[in-house]
Amino acid sequence: MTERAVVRVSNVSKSFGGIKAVDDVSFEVFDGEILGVIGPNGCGKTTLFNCILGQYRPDRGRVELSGQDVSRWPPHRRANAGLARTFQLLQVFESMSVRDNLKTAAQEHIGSIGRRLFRSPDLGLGATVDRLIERFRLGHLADEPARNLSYGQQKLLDTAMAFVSDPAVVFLDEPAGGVNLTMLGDLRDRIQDLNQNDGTTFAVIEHNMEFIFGLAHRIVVMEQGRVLTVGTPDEIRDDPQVLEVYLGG
Amino acid sequence: MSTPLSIAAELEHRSDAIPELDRGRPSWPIALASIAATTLVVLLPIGRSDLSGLMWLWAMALAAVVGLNLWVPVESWNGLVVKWTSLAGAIAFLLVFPLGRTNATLVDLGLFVVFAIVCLGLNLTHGIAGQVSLAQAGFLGIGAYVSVLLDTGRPIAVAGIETTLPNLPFLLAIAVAGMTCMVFSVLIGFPALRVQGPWLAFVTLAFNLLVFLVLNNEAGLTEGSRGLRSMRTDLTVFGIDLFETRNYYYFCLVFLFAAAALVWWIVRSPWGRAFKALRDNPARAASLGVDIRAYTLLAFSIGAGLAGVAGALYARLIEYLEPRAFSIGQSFDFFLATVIGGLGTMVGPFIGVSFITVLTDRLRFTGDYYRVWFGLFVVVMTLVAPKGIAGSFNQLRSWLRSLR
Repeated sequence: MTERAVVRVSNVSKSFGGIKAVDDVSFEVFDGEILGVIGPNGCGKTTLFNCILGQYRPDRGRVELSGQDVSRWPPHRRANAGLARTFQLLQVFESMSVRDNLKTAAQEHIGSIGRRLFRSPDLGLGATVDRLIERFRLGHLADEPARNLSYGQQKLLDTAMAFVSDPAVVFLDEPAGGVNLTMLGDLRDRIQDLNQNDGTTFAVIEHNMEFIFGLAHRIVVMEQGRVLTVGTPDEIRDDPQVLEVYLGG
Repeated sequence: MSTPLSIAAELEHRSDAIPELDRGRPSWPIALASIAATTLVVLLPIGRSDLSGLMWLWAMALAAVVGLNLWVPVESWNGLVVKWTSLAGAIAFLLVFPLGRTNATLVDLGLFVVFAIVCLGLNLTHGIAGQVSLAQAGFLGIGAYVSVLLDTGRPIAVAGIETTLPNLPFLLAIAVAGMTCMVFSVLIGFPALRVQGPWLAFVTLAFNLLVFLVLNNEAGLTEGSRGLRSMRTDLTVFGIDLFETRNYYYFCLVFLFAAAALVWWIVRSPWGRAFKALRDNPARAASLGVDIRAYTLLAFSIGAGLAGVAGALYARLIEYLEPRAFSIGQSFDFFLATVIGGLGTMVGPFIGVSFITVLTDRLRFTGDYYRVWFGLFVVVMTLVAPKGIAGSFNQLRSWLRSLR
């Protein structure tokens, strides 16, 4: 793993009214790693993701992607620059087929909006999309509207949509939430496979400790909007500060 | 107790309800039945103002066409044959039906064509991209007035300035009418970036009201409530004299076919997917790189542009413009036609506009109570077929499939 920061977050703050949801947070996501983000409920993990990916504009601080300041960019521009994500609650396009969901997730990276109207509807994405469908074992459902899929299958589709454009970093917000044990193993295998074989970089918010400690190379621990500590899973496990936060000392 | 429709709804949630794609083999009896029934539907009404003698035969043929479309699986070769004969039949009907009709009937038919163009556009804006608009009559009005003011060279007096308006060729006036509406639509598209659903409906409604007030009060430009005459007297396009109402009907029909082709192309293009993504889940769409601002404005301007073109055609069809024709009531009619026909479907706008046109005609005897009966029908339709007529056909089709 090279120690090159793909995403650098510097002194990012975001307040809602009097509440400092994210308070002077700085950390880096290294190229090729799986970074875990943990912390108690309401500690600002999701708000932090929203600041990095453009759903919110940070009040202060910078978000850089490969050295470029993207803090003022709208979300679609950050997505097209290589920042992909999933949301805490699953978000798919219900009326569209699995295949069209994935094509939608991939198409905006190709050419300009004006040109796309005159290209073939498929944009040459057919093969890429089919490969991803097979990889996520949704082959038998490819032409089914997403709303007909089970919760777990929709979750897989939601995750697959984040990968289809070959992003620089994928931000997953609680990928294991509401997923049963068998699927959980599946999900871990798939993230590891994409990380090791495709070199995809991940930042993952997770409450399932077993899952994230088995997956992440480094872990950021947050508490009350701040970064408490950063370290390898082993370091975090033995950190008295972290124990205090989770067990209330 | 389970009704057919609830079974169909249940089936939609079963992933094994749709079998693997197997086109099967084409069967001659089905192809011949489809061609024969469609031919009867097209040919029987020729030259008859009153169908009563052959009405039952015509109705049976129409029922056969609808039935075949419902019964034969869409993906099979038979389904494709039925689908394409029906489509060819519909086009042929629009081409052949006007032969031997009176001018009054031709104007009614022309109105159907013009309104269908508006609803095709609205179906893209609302049905595909999910942006509610109750301003389509306003755009129709802008298109109508702009085109008439641009190609008649009439003198005007607005805000103390007296001048003579240009005398552009009709085709150019139509294009300018469409583009003017696109510009205005961007203005109401911006609020749409902030508000959605009912609130967006209010914003567009307010815009329509504004258009009506301007048309009604700027008498120096629009002649106000006295109305503006827009005769076709010297209208010739590519050597075809459009003064003839029949020629003008065919002229409008060309625009309808072009509009349908345009919408069909857009919906199946990458834009169509982006529009649907915008409708289904704008936040997710943005996170995947969909520029929701650009696509929202595009959705509005395509719908408005088509309404503007329709307005220019409407002006010369009716030959008389009055602001009342572009009031919010008309916008509701477009909205209802699109919803009743079936949002987000290609045939929906056509079914919806036919339904509204026929209903308006059949309810003429109720006089002042017309709106009451009309409203009642709409309520019943929304309860019986919440997904519109085309949507119910799809449900019925999957129910029929489950019987096999």
